Amino acid sequence: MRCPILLADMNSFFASVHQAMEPRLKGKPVIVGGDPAKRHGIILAASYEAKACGVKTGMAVWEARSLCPDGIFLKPEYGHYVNFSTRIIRIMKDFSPLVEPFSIDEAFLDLSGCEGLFGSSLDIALKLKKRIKEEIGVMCSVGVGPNKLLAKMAAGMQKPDGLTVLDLTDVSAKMWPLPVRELFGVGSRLEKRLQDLNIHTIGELACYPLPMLRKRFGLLGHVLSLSANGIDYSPVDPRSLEKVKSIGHQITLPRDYRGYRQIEVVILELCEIVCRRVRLGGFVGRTVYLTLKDVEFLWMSRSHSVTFPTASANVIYRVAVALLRRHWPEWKPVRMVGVSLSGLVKSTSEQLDLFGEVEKARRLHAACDRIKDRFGEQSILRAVSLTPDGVCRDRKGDGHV
Amino acid sequence: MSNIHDYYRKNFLYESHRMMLPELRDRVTRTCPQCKFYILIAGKTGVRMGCVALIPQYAGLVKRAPEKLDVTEILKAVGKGGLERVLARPGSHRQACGQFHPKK
Repeated sequence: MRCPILLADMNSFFASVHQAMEPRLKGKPVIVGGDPAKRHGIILAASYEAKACGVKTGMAVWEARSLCPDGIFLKPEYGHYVNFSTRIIRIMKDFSPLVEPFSIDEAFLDLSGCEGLFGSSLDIALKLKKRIKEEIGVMCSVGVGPNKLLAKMAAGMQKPDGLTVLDLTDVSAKMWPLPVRELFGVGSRLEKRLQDLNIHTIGELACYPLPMLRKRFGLLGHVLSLSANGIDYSPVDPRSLEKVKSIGHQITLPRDYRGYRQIEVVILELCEIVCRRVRLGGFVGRTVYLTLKDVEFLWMSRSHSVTFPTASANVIYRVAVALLRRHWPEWKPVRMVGVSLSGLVKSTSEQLDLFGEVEKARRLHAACDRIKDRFGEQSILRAVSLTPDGVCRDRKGDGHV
Repeated sequence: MSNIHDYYRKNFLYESHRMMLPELRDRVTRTCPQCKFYILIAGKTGVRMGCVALIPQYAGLVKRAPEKLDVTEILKAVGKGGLERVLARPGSHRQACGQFHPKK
């Protein structure tokens, strides 16, 4: 099998999920976006009918409304997206156990050794598309290639409902004429740096001398050169999701918050959410990150490591507040706050203290977690969440905000 | 990252671009036996594993899923066709589905 790697990329996933759940929405311009009243007013996904009117992902909701006045605007329902995504990955695992989820709507599949069971990669790609369409009700574009990079590039070449095979022999004809920004791993900042070297297309990058790229970009230069030539040695790792590096949560505030007292309320709520997730995963962490964004969308991120790994919201809150007071001037308004915990290790490595405070806190957290497991995340909250500055009270369900 | 071999071996190109919701991670890395809906179904002559997430009162968390359930209860709730689906759906090594709830 020359092209054993496959990438399935769902088309307009969030909008397609709504269309699959409500057949009356099929063929209509469905637009999934945040709530402008809560300042989450960007488009997360648009169906192809809406895209035909010019609506694009990332656009402001008001802009989408003006382009597509007949559009059906829906709020995101992350629980449903996770449900659909899980079902799609289950279908993929029926073909091969080597499935690597890449995002909520994309997953790699390694078909090496499966030809005797299901036929060629192309046959499997067709079967997979058919099953996803019939059983889940969403369309997907499938890319097939000899490695992950080419499968990813191929999946983006034909949308919607596409099936593209991109072999190493096709790289010069199909990939090289594309702008360098289209190469996987090249973002806007790297594109600008490449343009400074007069590299505008993937072909120009592929022909650029490797020593010069290495000198300019280091190891990344070498990777870029190989990628532009269609070479990628990355494995399809089915256990990739088991490695958790950090757990965090960020929130765009419903209004600009001014002064430490207001911001600290949100930080405490975020610490509770993050620590709950850390405990659910059976971890404790050492490094606390605080991220803040101001009204001009300029952001700042600072971190501090505590002596012993913890999953206690109180400890993380104290560190986050110290970071806030040290690095953020009180007069500066805040638009977005994020807290995350990294340096995660299994919770068995938590350090106990002489006077039993850690043990006492652990029992308290366990009791709160049991209440939340049984009655929901909103069943027990910090008192600050009931103050006008609290934002957690308004969160619904799993609350991706 | 020290060299190009480590870069690819550690899947760095994709790890640094991965976006994942924690709920999806929970479901994708777990299997049916770790789910509270995966229970013993006791019949007349044997006991088999089944998934009661197909029974609305358990799926909606109105009733707590027991560790063992008599087959007559399932027949009453979802009928013969439903029972077949309850018994056919899960697998001991199968990835958890969207209705996954971790066992306590």
